[in-house]
Amino acid sequence: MVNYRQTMKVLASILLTLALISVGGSVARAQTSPAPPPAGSNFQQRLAQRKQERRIQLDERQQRRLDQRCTRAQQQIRSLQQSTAQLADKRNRVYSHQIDGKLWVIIGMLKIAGKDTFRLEQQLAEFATKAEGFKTVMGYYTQTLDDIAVINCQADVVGFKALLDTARLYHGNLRTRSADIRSYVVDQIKPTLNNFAREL
Amino acid sequence: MPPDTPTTPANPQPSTPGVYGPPSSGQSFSGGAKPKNKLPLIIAAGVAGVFVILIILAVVIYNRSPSAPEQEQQQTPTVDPEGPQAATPLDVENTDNSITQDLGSINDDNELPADQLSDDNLNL
Repeated sequence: MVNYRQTMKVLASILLTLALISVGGSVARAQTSPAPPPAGSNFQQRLAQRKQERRIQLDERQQRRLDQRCTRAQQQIRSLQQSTAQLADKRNRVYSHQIDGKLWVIIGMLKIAGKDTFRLEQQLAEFATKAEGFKTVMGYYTQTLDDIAVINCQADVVGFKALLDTARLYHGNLRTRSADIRSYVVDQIKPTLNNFAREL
Repeated sequence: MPPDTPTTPANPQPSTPGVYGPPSSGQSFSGGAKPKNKLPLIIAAGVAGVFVILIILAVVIYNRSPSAPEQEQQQTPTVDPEGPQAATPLDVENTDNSITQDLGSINDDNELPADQLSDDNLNL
């Protein structure tokens, strides 16, 4: 009797593990980062790429629902385009001009004071790389929003859904990158500056 | 008897006065030309004058040019209020605070809200 229970427990745990793996796999595929669109690609090429990446499958109910509501969603996306463009400008200004510029100035002043600024320069280079990555993904995101705004969503509901899912993935990526940049500045660069303030 | 042919006198008198005649200006006549005696003096005076002029110019130029310590001071700028200076603890602290303010101007929850493209937000 005990052996039977143990065997059933083992089988249940194996089945549960397999189930989790299969679910996790499908989620991972659904959330796979979109590939960068080819340079110079046009709308049709990007649409085909996103359809192939996302592999959208809609039942009849979902198709009908999207067909009825996609036009209104496109209007919201169009208003989002303007605020996103302002956001891109602001982040580029803060990351690549304000923070980057101030760090370069203080590095120069620390050098004149005879301090070894190698580590701070390394951190600044890493920060610049992260800021450039954010800017690149922001470009892909705004491009996808532009594609959503122009697609004939009622004629190509699957394409609309593929583009929307792509935009959502880029949006999440931007949030992750922004948080990463903030953490890097707070946890790496600011302590280095504080050390210099104590040494001087 | 034919008329006497005038004969050339033995000691012909020159037509140019003062060449062979006694000196008319009262100068001693030692047998050489006057400019030859004055020429060395003139040359020496000219050379001395040139030397004097050069010395005066040298003094003037030396007085106008800055002295050596002043020159060193001019070549090595020490304090330029407009240019970069050595960092002080206050400079580093100000930079730190300024960067903190820059980060504070960024708000992901407002600018990139998580539900910005959700079905609920887009009424899908």
